[in-house]
Amino acid sequence: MTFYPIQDYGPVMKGMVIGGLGIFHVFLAQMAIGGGMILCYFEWLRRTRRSPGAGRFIGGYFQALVLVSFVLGAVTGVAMWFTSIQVSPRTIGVLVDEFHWIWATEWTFFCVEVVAGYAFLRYHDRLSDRSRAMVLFFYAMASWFSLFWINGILSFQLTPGNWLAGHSMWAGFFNPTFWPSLFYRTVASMAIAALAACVVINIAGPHERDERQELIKRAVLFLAPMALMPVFGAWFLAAMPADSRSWAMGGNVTMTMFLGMGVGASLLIGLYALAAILRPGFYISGYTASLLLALAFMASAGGEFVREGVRKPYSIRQVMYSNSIKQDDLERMRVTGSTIDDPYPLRDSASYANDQLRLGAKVYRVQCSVCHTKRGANGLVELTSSWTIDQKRMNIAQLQRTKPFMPPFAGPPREVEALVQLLGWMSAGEPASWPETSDPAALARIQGWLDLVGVTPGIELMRTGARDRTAAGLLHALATSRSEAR
Amino acid sequence: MDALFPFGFPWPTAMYLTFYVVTAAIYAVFMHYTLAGALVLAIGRLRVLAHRRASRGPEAETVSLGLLEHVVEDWLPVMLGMAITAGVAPLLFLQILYKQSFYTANLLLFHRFMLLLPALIVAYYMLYLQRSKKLHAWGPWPRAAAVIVVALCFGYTAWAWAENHLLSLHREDWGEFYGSGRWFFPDSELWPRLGYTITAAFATFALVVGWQLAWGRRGHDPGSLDLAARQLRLLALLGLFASAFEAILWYLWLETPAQAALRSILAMPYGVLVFLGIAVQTACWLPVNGGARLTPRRLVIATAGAVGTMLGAVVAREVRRLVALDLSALEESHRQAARVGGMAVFLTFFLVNALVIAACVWIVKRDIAPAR
Repeated sequence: MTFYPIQDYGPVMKGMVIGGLGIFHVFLAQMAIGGGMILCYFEWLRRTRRSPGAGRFIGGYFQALVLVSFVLGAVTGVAMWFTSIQVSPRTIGVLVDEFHWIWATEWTFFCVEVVAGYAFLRYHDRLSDRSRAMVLFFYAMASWFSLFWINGILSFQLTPGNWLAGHSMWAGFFNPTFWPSLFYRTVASMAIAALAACVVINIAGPHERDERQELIKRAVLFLAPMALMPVFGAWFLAAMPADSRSWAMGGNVTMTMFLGMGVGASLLIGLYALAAILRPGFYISGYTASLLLALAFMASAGGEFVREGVRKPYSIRQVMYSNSIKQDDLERMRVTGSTIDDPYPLRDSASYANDQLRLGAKVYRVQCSVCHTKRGANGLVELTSSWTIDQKRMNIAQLQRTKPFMPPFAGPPREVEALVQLLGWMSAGEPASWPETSDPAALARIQGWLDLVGVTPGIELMRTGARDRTAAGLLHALATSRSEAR
Repeated sequence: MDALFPFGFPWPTAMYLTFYVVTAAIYAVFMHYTLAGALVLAIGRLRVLAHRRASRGPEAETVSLGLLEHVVEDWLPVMLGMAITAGVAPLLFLQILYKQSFYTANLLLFHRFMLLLPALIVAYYMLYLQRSKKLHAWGPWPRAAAVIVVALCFGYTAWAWAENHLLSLHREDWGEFYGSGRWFFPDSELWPRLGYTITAAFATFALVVGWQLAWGRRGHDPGSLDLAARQLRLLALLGLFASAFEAILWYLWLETPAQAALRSILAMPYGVLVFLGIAVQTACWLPVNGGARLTPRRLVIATAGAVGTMLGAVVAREVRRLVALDLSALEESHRQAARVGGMAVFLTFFLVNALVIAACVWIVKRDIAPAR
């Protein structure tokens, strides 16, 4: 396994950084994708003289799209890449190896999007009707296809499907959640673009309220496909693995809450859209449209959080755990240790009271730091503060049973003990001296717990119902280790 | 190292190297435009400020940017968008070729490297802002300040990339660098490298703007066009001579193995191509004393020279990296990467989308032609 230098984000969880940026980027990208579609529709309205204000709207909307979506969307897209490298270089490495031609294909569509986009922005008022429509169509087509390509990679991470059997790239790309995810995101893009359109119409649209109302009535038609969201959402849930589904459906309170937030926000927008479509004379003001757009952002945030969260304990399901350790590496590390090949020193080495704590800090860095902090968000010290020392030993040794969405511990008993001592030392206020422990009985008990649960992922234990069966074994192991200690 | 780049490598490595070099050269065109363009615009704005301070009375208000700066001001946001987009492809092939070293350098520089992202966002918005009517109404100072910020942001980005690249070559320093928690990797090679990038940018920039002026010839005042052409000649020649000097300086700076590789059959023809391209471009620019001399024929020949220089320089840069890194250890991972499907789809869409882009440009050119 290749070791990379791991940076400490202080009290901030790495997931918060990439999650926050990811939600922002996805929202902007979806606005651009739906924007392309809505612009094509308004261009058709303009050409056929069905809507007198459509022309002015197109100019204003495209400018907003360029200033927000082009600029921030493009840079946050690159930022996503760099942040992914910062958080999990091994994960992005596997994805690049497997899908680089897909990414390269997506890039060709980016190029079309940028050229067509700027061509329209600069020259739309000098182009013939037919040319305007064509350039807009190129832009819309390219932006939707960029979704098509990236969707395959994102959904692969949760459901690699038949790729696992033969490593066929296309089997991984057209994986079980590819289509529901694509359809859902397309509808979401249309909804976001429609709400953004309502904001733009109010800010930069015609002066006359009647004209604005007419444009808004047209724009809200793009909210109508939201009626299909429950279908695509249910399809997506049905296509994902049962354990992942269980996290979202009550198994994990945070994920369930975020799912609820996403569904609730979408429902509110959907109900408002229904009223807007059905009631003649309905008007959406700039403030209301902004509020609805904020709700759409919340819905996106909820959805993206759940999509990222339900992959646990993996970053790529059945390929790589969230701490970027592969199953075969994990099995090897159980014997050799997870830090033995790590060439990077501790920056704060002198601040630890002994070598065991230094080992614990390295174990934390390699195995835990991607999802936890020491004392900040999802901080290990706080999470384990009420546990007894033996509870810490057992819960860490049997990590995948403690929380099935955590990966199995990837190290021998001395690394478990080192981590336990580190947490104890930090809980005690990091005193200058701290005794090293080398109690053979404690190490034997830890070995018993490690052996008992093995390297089977927690989700497998859940599936096979091993939890109950091994409970008896656990008692047996405890009894054995006690008698050995005696 | 005993065959011309990239033919001495196993075919998967050679293929990815080729894709990398070609896409990096495409990216460099836009990057050079934005980097040199921002500096030209910043100097132009400062020149306007200086003239206004020197002039008194109503004529002070008439001092403004020349045609060259106007064109740059108009096109910089577009070119930045193109540069960011074009930069995605080489970034992708770079990760396949040199995964560990690239990722490690990114991780080691951390905030220092990641800061280029907000810098690009700031630069992007400043480019739009400095064209806004509101800022125009506030007088010349805010606009000058906005462009200076843009130039600084681009300069920072170039510096961060160069430092990242150099750190990726020095595996022996990674552990110590990480342990120290330092933010900067001072390496003396940085300055000739960065110097080459910045000076070479002016030559590419002059050529692209030359094409822009030639295409829009009928829309420009002949006097302004003549002046802009002479300014371009100056920029191009300065860029060409300075970049040739920087290239030699960089070569002398390198350690013996890298110098030997650059003199070998692996890279020597590309080195020759760099200087041949510089010579061709110089010959094309020297007689340009007015807009009439910016003929398509002259620009085509200069472009051929620039392509040679660009490709040669990217390959020379790559050969220096190949000497520093043990590529043979990565050949197996390249072989595995080459086994995955999708290349045919990429090549198909590359072709199709190149045609779509060409169609887009053709449609626009056709429609706006009468308006000239």
